[in-house]
Amino acid sequence: MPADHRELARANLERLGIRPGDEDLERLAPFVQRRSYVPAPHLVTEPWTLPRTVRWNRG
Amino acid sequence: MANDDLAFVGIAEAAQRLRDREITSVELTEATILRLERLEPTINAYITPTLELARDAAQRADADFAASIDRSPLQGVPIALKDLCATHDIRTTAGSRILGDWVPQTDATVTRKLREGGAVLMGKLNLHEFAYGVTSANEHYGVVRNPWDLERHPGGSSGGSGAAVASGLAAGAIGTDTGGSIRIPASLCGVTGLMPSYGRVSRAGVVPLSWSLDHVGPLTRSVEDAALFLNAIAGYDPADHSSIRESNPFDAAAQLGEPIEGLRIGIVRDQFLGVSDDVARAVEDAIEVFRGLGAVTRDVSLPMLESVRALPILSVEAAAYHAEWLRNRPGDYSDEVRSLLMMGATVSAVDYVNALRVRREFTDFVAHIMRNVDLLLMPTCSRTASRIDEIDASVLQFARLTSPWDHTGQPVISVPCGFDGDGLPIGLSLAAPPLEEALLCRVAHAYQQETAWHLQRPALA
Repeated sequence: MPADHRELARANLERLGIRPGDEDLERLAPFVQRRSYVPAPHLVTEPWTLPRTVRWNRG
Repeated sequence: MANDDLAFVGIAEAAQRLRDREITSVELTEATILRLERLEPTINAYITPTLELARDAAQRADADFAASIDRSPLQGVPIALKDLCATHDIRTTAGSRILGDWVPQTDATVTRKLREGGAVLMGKLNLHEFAYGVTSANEHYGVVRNPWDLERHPGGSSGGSGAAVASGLAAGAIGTDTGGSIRIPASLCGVTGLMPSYGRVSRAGVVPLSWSLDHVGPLTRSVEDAALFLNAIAGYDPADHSSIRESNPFDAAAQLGEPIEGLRIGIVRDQFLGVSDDVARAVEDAIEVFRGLGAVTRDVSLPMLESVRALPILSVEAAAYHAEWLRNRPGDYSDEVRSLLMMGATVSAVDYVNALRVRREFTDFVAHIMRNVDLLLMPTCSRTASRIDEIDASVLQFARLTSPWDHTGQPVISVPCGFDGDGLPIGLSLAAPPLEEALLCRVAHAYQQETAWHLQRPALA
C-alpha cells in the first residue's frame, strides 16, 4: 500500500496521543485509502440546505 | 413436564403458571440451571454465571408469590444480562480485558429494574469485545457458538444473549444495539429481538459504544415475551440524557391480539439487494402471510440507505469513548477491536459533522415515507450465520441491513421467518415510527400467531 496512507493514519492517531504499531497501520491503511469523504447534505439535496442545529423556542 | 421443556417455558407462559401455582420459580430456575450446566461448556454464552444468586432470587420470588406480592411479569423468571450492564455485586467486563476485574459500585438502571421486578438473574452474558463487532468471537472469554450449528457464530454483539435464549439457558436476555447487535443475533439464532425507540430504555450504567446510537432491549423466544420484558425495563430515567419522558403510560403489549387488517406495510426493496436466495424466499413467504392477515403491502424505496450505511458516526463516537485506553492500554484490546477503534480516530471532524447532517436528512426522509405506510418490512440480515473459522473483515456485512435503523432511532423487531438449506434460522425485521412499540409488537405477534418458526428449538444434545 502507498506509504502516504500509512503515514496519514499515523499522523491522525499521534495527534490524539495514540501510538499505532506497524501491524495496526497495516490493518488501517486500506480503510484510510478507501475512505471517501462524507458528502454534505447540501451536495446531495439542495444547495441552500441549512445545517440543522439547536433551535430555541420561547414559550 | 420434562426438565428441558420447563427450561423453554417463555416469559408470558411462566408468568401465568407461576401465578396459578402450577410451577414454582425454584423449579423453573433449577431446570434452567441443569440445562446450563450441561450445555454451557459447549455454547459459552455466559462470561459469569451467577447460579447461587439465581437460586436465592428464585426462593425470594416464590416467597413473594406466596405472600401475593406481584412485582412484574418477570418475577421468578430466569433472565440474563449482557455483560455490558453494570451489576454492583458481579464483575462487569464488557467482554474486555480492560474491564476484566471491574465490579461496579452501582447497578445499571436496567439491572435495577430487573431486580426490582423480581427477575431471577442467571448471570452475565458473553458478547463481542466492548460490543464492537458482530460475531461474539471473543478473544478474552472464548467464542460463543450458535446453538443451531456449533461451528458457526451466533452473531453479535449480543451473541451470548441470542445463544442463551435460543438454547434454553434463559427465558429472556438483555441485549444492546448500536449497529444491529440485538437484531443480528436474534436473526442468526432464531429468536425474537426488539430494539426499542432511542431513549425508551435507560442506558445509564451500560458501557457505551456510541452514545447517539446505543439502544438497550430484550431478546426472547416470542414477541409477546419481548413486549412484557420491554415493559419491565422501559421508562424515563434522569440519569440518561436521552431518556424519553412520555405523558401516557407505556405498554408495549397493549395491542397484542388486535387484528392487522388494513395496516399498510412498506416493503423496503433496497434491503433485498445482495441477500441470499434462501433469505429472500423466506421473507417473501412472510410477506404473503401478512397479506393473508389483511395487511396491505406496497414497495417503498429508500435510496439514501447506501450513504447511511457508510456513515462513520459509530466509529468516531467509539473512538472518543476509548481514546484514553487507546493511549495507555492499546495492547489490552484484541487486534480486531483496536483496529476498528483506531479507524474511528482517523475520521475528520468535518466528516463527522456532515455524517450527523446526513443522518438527520435520512431520518426526516424515513418519516416522510412513513406518512404513507404504518410499518416497514425487510430482511434482518442478508445471509445466515457463517462459520467461525471463516470470520474475516467482511463479516461486518452482517450489519449492512440493520445499521441504518440505529441512526433513525425508531423501534425495530426481528422475528424468525424460516430456515435455509443448512437448517440455519432466518429473520425478518419490522420497523415502526418512533414510540410505536405497541403497534410493532401487535403486527409481529400477529405473524407469530400464524407461523411456528419461533417455536423451533435447536437439536442440542
